[in-house]
Amino acid sequence: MSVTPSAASGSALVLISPTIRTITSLQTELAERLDESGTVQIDGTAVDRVDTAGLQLLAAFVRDLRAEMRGVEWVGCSDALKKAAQALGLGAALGLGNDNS
Amino acid sequence: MDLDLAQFHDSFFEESFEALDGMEAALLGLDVGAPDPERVNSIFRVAHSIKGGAGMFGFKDVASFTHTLETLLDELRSGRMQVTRAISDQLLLSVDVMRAMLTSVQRKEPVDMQKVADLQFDLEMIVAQGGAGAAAAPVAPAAAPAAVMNNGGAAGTTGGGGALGASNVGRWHIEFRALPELLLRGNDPLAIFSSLAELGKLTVVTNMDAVPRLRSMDAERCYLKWTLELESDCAREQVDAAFEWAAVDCELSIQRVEAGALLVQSAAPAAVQGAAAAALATGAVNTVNGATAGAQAAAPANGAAQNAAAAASATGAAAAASGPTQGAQAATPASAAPANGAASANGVAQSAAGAASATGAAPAANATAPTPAGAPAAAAKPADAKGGEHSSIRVSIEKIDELINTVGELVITQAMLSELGRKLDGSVAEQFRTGLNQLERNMRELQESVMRVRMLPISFTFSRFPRMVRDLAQRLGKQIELKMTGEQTELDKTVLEKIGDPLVHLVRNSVDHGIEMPDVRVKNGKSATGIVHLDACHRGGHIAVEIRDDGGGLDKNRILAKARSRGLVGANDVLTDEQVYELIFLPGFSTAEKTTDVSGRGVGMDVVRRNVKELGGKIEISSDFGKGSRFIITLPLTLAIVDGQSVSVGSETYIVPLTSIIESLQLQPQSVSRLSGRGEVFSFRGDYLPIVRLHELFGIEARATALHEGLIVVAEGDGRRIGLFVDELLGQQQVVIKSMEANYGPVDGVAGATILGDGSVALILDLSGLIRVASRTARAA
Repeated sequence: MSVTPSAASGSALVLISPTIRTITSLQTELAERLDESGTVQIDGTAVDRVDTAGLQLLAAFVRDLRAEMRGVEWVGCSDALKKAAQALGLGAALGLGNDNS
Repeated sequence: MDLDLAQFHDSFFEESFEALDGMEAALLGLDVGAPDPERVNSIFRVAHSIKGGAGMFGFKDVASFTHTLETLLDELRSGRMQVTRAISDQLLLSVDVMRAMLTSVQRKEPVDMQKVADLQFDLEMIVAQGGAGAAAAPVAPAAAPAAVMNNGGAAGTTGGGGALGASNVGRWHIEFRALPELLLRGNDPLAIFSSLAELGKLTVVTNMDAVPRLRSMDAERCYLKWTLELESDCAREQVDAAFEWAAVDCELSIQRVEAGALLVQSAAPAAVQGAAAAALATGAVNTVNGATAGAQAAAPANGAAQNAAAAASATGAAAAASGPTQGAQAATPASAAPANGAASANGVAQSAAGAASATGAAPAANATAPTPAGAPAAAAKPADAKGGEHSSIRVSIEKIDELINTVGELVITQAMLSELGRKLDGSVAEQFRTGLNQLERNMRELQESVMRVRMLPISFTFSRFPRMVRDLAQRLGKQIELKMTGEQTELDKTVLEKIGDPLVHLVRNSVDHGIEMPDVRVKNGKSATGIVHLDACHRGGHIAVEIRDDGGGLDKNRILAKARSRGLVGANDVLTDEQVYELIFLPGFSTAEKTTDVSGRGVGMDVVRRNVKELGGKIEISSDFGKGSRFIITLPLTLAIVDGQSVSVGSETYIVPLTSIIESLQLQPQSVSRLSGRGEVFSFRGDYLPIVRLHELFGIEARATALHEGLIVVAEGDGRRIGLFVDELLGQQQVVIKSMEANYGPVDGVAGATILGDGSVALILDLSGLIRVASRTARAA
């Protein structure tokens, strides 16, 4: 992508289990991140459970960041998260590689 | 100079539309395996000629698109590229796009440039793939073949968007749109896709179009939709089972695509990124960012950049290309692929799908072409070549009508002279009468010739059906062969124009409700391919148009039950088959189990009948449940003259159309009765028919008032019969109809007027209207 990333601001966003159960609090947190500036680092290493609601929200987050010309950097990503994103066809949208199943 | 050119615009549009019809017919009749070179050539010439005209008149967008089309056609006619089914489909789409463009330009309305750009991009890709190779220009979409169409080759892989081609395994094409409540009800598409992945190789393309901005979205609702391709020979039930729990919370379309069908996939992802980079490099787009399927193309003046931006726009990593816009429209997202998988009918979806899958992140945006088995080509041959292959000139319809009118006046004048001639005596009179007889023969020939000028073969109307049936059958997943016979049967231009809509409705009904799904047909011992047959022929001064199919036929019991439930028929009434079939002509009557967007809303058959009647025709139905149905429309050959029976009522003469007359008879007083509420009736073939005393209805002093002193003309209109009481029958003749509306105003019960040989005016009766008037009068009395 030809977007020049700015310096990352603050700490990485750590994802635990982005599912419909925790979606409201996750949305709040992501919205706060949108109010900041610079590249957002996301740490998905600890994700062992994720569902469509979580992936949809994350995809919207990444999309909105890019619309504001801000970068997204995955500092870590669990297999579970990566596989689920690809299986749902959102791997590329999240910057997590080819969608495949 | 501009003013001069503008004078020719109308001609250009008219000729172009006609040429496009010819092109479409030629494409539908093209044998993809062994295309007739002359046919391909003629298709090329159409594009070439429209391009030339458009260029001359300054219609740049039309010229540009047609130029691309012409380039592809040139490759095909030269043999450098082979005609494939997919290419043929794209060419048909091009016909649609060109029609739409020309219509917009003609009406001075904005052209849908996004659609044009997308298809133009596809065509360029086809050329680039099949021609010498990618062009070097950095901004040219050909440099980045993001959407490639291929016919054959190794089975496509989904990783990295590599090779394409026909797969050796069938597949299920699934369009799955989650309704907002899906997630809240505990359904998760991830689980569904996991089940599907157990059945075969699954590729997924996600559409995020409807996902709002994060701050404003309701995160518990699902806004996503997907296009899935499942490479598997599993049964339909297994696919259905995966969606079982979510069925009520989604919109779902599942189509089977047999092995050997074409895929449209992307080439190397780098190519699309390259296209995006190229677009950026030109400054035509500002950024390429975000995972969104919506894109705004750059300045419309740079079509190449638009194409590149569209290519770069995908559900993959390179999604939204945004930049300075000047009214450009958004690129179409990948999952705009039409629900039934007949994606070849949607070049937009193909290009976007191709672009989407090109990133390698979403390599499996497959838009499948319709299967050969699923949509057999119409059996119809194209109509006679139009435009350029016969010597002809264009004449406006007003001039023809003027000519017909003048000839009609001549006929009347000749009749008056003949009348006069009969009264003359002497030897000169004999020569005069001989001359008049000769004149009468010449006039009849002239009249017939002039009437024939307005006559056109019904192929002009039939020609729309091959495409229509093909597209409909694809959408519905049915296999249908359309046969057409009698296309050269001629009828009056006005009748031809007005019969189009009723025929379309009847054919759509046959396709949608008549012909069964292939598996149902096979289960019932029929061939999987249903047949719809259109036939036209002359029958005794009329034209008969028949639509018959070998589908399921009309279910009398269901029709009757529906009519009873709506109170249209009494619970204990016994109806004949014909009477039951007549029920389907009632407004709003439909026994379709579900309304498709094709038909079933019950607003058609009553309108069909009304349109046919307005043309002076009638429609009959016959059906064999389980075997098929026949609809026969009978129409007059022309609306300008009518064969009529002259009758006298007092000092007036009236013309009763022969098609309305059943019999003429003289009544005996004992066969007449009087029924309360119905007035005078007489017994006729087991039924009691009302008597309409024309002299009373029209307020004329009659010579005969007692029934036995005059004659009864048994006539029918609107399915009802009456007995017209007249003084005497004068003779049968062909009369030229003069319009009441044009010369006076509409009169209920009167179809028109004519001028007789003695110069007097005779009114031509309209039986349907007359019966209405008579009923009203009887009730009032």
